[in-house]
Amino acid sequence: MRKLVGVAALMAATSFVQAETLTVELNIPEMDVAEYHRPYIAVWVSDDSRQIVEHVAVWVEQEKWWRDLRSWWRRGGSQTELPIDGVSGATRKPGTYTLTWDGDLPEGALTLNVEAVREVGGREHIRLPLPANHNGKVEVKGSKELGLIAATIAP
Amino acid sequence: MKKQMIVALTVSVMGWPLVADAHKRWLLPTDFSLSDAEQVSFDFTASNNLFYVDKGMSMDGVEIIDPAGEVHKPINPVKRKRRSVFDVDIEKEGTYRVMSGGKPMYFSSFQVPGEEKPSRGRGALDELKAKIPANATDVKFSESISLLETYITLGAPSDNFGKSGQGIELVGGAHPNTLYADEPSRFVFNLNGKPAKGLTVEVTPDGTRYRDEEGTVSYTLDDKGAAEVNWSVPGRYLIEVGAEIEMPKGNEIAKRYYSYSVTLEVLQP
Repeated sequence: MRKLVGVAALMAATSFVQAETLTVELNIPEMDVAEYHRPYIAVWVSDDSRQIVEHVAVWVEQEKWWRDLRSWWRRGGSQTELPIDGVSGATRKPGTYTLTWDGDLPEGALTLNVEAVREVGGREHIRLPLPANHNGKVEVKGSKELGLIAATIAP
Repeated sequence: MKKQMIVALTVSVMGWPLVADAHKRWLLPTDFSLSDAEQVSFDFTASNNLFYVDKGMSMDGVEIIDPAGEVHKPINPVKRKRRSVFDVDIEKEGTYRVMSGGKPMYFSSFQVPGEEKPSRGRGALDELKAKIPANATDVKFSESISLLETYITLGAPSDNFGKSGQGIELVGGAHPNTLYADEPSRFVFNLNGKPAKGLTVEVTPDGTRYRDEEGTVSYTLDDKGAAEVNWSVPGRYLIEVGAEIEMPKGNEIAKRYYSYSVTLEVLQP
């Protein structure tokens, strides 16, 4: 009961912009390595206190290693029940993927997070600040585990 | 004369429990944060270098408090020369506390006429008293409460701080399994159930063997028993808090010693 009251208070305190569309283009690069495993990847939107606002994609396999997406896991992945409809799924092979997320986002500064971790490989966590007015396109190139990441947000 | 005084002083200092063993004592798990039920293995040892095993510790006092508050004993305990090892099944969602000690221990020190050095004992207070010879002089008792612990979380973290009200305890603030190198973490300590204000917290990062300084950063606990710790690097840390309290003359216990240590993992941002 207490928890419910807390959630209601939080909802009242945060104002939401109606129905925004977030499109994320995400590239998983080819790796020239002897032993290749597809990366576990988490994509989420966080607020300015780094808390998870929305999960956009969670591509994972064995539960034991979900924790290796260590930012996602400790920031809130561990408090989330998987599978998440339309968000979680199996790991993907190298290539470019387009993710579309529709819904209400809180006002204010938001960051798109993309975290990738590969067995016997490396880890990369990209933080891409979304446009302040929640309208426009931003992009960044990953350095190793991730290729080009582009985010478009529109009302 | 001066030399004699120094010798006497050294002997009396050696007689006290914590000062005699300046080693750091620690529990180190293989994992701090899990996403699936699993067995976690621990090293339990005393050493000067962090985190390099040196002296195996007794596992008699090791207890595991699961997220539901149930108490478990270590699995597969083996005491070896340089390290003690044991396993713990982490199978419930939430935070486990793995601890050793936390209960009062007593020490005696007394001089038997004609003997060169003072005699010492360790055990329950009643037993210690019973063993003091009638002709002994300079009889002193001390009490020590020493707690070592660490925290492991499966899934979402939960509150599992120790709240026995005895000795030094970590009772609140940042959750021990959600720490990030670029975010200061506030920790709250109690001494005998009240804010441990004025005590010193020492924070030492792993890897002392590979640097010239210990790298220990000290903080003083404020009126609420709290300190905000800044991490220098991601990695594993040992946090230690200690106190020695001289009791007023005439008190049966001359001195009380308190110590606390917790092993933590701090994530890369």
